[in-house]
Amino acid sequence: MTPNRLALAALPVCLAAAMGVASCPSGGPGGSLVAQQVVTAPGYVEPHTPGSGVAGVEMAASPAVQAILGRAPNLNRVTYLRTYLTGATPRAILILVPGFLGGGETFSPLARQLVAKFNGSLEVWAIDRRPNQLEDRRGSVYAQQLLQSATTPEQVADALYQGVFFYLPESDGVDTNQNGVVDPPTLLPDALGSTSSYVQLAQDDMRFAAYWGLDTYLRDWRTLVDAARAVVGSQGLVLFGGHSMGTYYASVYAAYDFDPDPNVVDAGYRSIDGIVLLEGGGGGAPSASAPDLPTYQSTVASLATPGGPQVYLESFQGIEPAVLGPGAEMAGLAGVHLPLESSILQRTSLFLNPPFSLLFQSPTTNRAAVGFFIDDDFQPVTAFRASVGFSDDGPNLYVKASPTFPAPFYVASPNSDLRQWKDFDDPTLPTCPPNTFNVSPGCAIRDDGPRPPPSATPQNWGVQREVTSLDDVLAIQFQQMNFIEWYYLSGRTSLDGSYGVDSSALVAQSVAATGSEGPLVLTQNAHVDVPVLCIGGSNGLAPLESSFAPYLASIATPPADEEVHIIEGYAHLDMIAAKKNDAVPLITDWVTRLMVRKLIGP
Amino acid sequence: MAEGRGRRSMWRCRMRGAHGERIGWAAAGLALCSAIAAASPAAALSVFTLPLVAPSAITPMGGSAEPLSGSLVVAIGTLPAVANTTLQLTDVSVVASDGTTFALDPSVPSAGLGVLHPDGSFLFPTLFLQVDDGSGPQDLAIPNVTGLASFSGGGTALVGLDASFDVDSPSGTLAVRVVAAPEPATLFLVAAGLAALRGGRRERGR
Repeated sequence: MTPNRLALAALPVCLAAAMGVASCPSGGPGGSLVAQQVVTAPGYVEPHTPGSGVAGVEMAASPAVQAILGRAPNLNRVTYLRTYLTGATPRAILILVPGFLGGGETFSPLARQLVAKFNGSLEVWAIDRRPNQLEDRRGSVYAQQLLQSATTPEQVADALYQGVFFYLPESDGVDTNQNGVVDPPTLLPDALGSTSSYVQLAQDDMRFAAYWGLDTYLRDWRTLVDAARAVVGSQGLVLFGGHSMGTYYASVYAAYDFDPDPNVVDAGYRSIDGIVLLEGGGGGAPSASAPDLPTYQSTVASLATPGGPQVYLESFQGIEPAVLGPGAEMAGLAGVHLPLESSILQRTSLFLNPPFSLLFQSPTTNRAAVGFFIDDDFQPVTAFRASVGFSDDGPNLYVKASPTFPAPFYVASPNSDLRQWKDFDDPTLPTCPPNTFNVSPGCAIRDDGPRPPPSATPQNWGVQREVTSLDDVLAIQFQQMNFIEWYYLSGRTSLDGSYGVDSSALVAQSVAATGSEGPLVLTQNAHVDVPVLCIGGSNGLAPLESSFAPYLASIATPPADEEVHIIEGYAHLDMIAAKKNDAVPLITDWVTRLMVRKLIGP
Repeated sequence: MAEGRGRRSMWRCRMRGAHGERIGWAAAGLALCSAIAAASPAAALSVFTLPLVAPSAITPMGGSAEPLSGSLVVAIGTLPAVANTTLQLTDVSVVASDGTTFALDPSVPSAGLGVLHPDGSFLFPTLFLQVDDGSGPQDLAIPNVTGLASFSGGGTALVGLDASFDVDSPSGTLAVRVVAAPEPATLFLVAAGLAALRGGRRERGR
C-alpha cells in the first residue's frame, strides 16, 4: 500500500477538520472526543439565600447545610453539565432543563449524541437546578474511590456496602451484607471537620427555598443564556429547551420579563433563538387557584417560616426523593460493578418496605433491579419509564391501569433464582403477539394500535420499541449531576406554577400596590415568536400533536415555525436516553436550518 | 422544499425539443438561457449539477494527490444573489481514488444547507456527510466549510464551486480540495446559449 493509500485508509477512522477539531466518525471514534465538564458559576443573587450578603435579609445556613457545604456557603450558584467536543468552537448552544425529579445528568446520552453529530459545532448545557448542590454525595463518592482500588469481588462488594451503609444503614431485621450482625453506619468527614453519616436535610433546613421560585430559577438561567450568547455571538444560536416538566420551565423562560421596571420589557424569548420541547407540552393557562397578591405574599411568608409547608417534595408515591436519589446512585454503582450478583439495594430498608417491597417481589440481580425500576413494562409511573428491555425468566403479574397508575405494568414474581435482565437489543425480547400482554410473561413490545388523528385527546399508540441501553442508564446514576433531584422544590415553584405561563393579573396588582412588577413577571407569553421544536413519543407523555397544541396556540410563533414530531414507540425517558436517538436527526436538522436562517439575516 | 424542476436538468439538456425533435444549437442555447434568466425571480430555487473536476483531491502532507471524482447537486435560493441566500447541496456523490465514498447524511434533510453571500463566498456551518470505505457508512460532520462560487449569465448561472480545507488524520494533515464545474461540453452549451440570448436581444433591439 502506498503512503497515499495509507492516509486515505485512515480517513474514515479519525479525521479532524481544519476549522476546529472535527473527526471521522463525527465526535471521534466511539464519540471519544466528546467531553463533559461540570460548570458552576455565580447565579442570580437571591437576597434571602445563604451567601447573598444582603444584610438583614439573608437567611443563615443551618448546621445540616453547613455540614454539606461548609460554614459560609454561597447557594446563589448555577450549575450545568457542559457537553462539548474538545477543541471545537460551537455555533450553537442548546440549554436544557431536566424534568420532574431529574438531575442534569439525565441529558447525557442525548447530549453526547448531539455533540458528536455536529462534530462540535453544537454544545449542550444541561442545567442542574439549585437544590442539587444540597445533595450529600459523600457516600457515593467514597464508594467510587474504594471501587477504584478494589481488585477482588469481595473488595468491590465491601466498597458498595460502605456507600450503602452511609445512606441506608442496617438495623434490626435489615442485614444488607448478610453477615449476621447490624453493621454501623459509614461515617465520613463532613464540611465542618467532623464525621457523620448521610445528612438528609429537613424542610426547616431549606426555608430559604421559599424564595427559590420561578423568578430565581429563571434569573439563574438567564446568566447561562447570556454566557452562551457570549460564546456563540450574535450570529450563533442560543436555544432553550427542556424535557417533561422541563418544557414548562422552557416556556416560562421565554415568557418572562426580566426587567423589573413596569415600563421596560426584557423578554426571555428575545434572548434566545428557539425553544425545544421534549416529551412535554410546555406551559398552560393560569389555574383557577392562582392566588391574588396578598395571598401569594402570605403563602411565601408561610413557606419561609420554620414548621411551615413543604418547600421541597418530601414524598412521591410513598417514596422520599431524598432517599431514592442516593439509593439510585448506589444501585447504579452496584449494577455496573456487580451486575449479576444478588441486588444489594433489595436488602436495604429502602426496598424492604413499601412501596418498593410491593413492586419488587422477586430477588433480582443488581443490574436487573435498575431495569425493573425504570423499564416501561415494569415501572408504574409513566414519567419514569424508558424502554430498556425485559425480563421473562419468571412469572410477571399483569397489573391493570388504575386511577393511581393510569398505565398498566408488570410485577416480577420470584423464580427459583435471581431474576435477570434482557437488554434492549436482545433478539429474544418477547412481543405481543404472539404473546398476550395480560398473560405471563407478557411482552416487551406491544402494539398500542393505530395513530389517532393529530387533534385527538393525547393517548399512547403505535408499536412500542426497545431503544435505551440499561448500561447507559446505570452510568448516569452516580455522576456528579446524577439522575435524581433529591430535593425537588414543590413549595414556591408550585405556587408560581399555578399561574401557568401568564401572571399578568398578579403583576397588575403588584404595580397598582407597589409600583413594581412584583415577584413573578410572566407577561410575555403572547408575544413569544421564536421557532419551537416539539418532539413527543407515542409511548410517552406527549404522544400526539395535540399534546403541544395548547402551548403553541398561546404564543405568537407563526405556524411555519412550529414543528411537531412524534417518534413512534418511544417512552418518556427514551427521548433523552435512547442509544441511537431518533430525536438527534430531528434536532440536528432544525438547528441547521436555524443556523443558516440566522446567517442569511432578515 | 419546492424545487425548480425545469432547471434541475439544465446541465443535462439534450439537443431535442419538448417533443423529441432535433433542434439547432442556437435554439437550444436560447432555451437554456431562457431557463437561466427565469431563475432570477426572488424566492425561485435554481438547481445545478456540477461534476467534480481537477484539481479536486485529497492530498496527504508530503504525498501526492488522490483525485476525487463525482458530482454535486446544488440548489440556490435566489439568483442573482444580491443578498445572502441559501446554497444547498442536495446531493453529494464523491468517490476518492481508493474507492472511499462521500455522500450527504441521509438522516438530516438539511445536511448540505449553507449560505451564499453576494460576493460569491459561501459557508456551510456544518456539512453533514457520511463516508464509507467499504465497511459501512459513518457520520462525518465538517464544521465551517467555506469556499467560493462563480457565476455567469449576470449571476444567474452557477459555473463553479471551489472549497478547500485541511483534515488531520493519524498519518498527518490531509488537504482537501473540492472543485466543481460544468464539463467543457456543457460550458460550451452555456456560452452558446448566452451568445444566442445576446443575439436575440440585439435582434429585438433593432
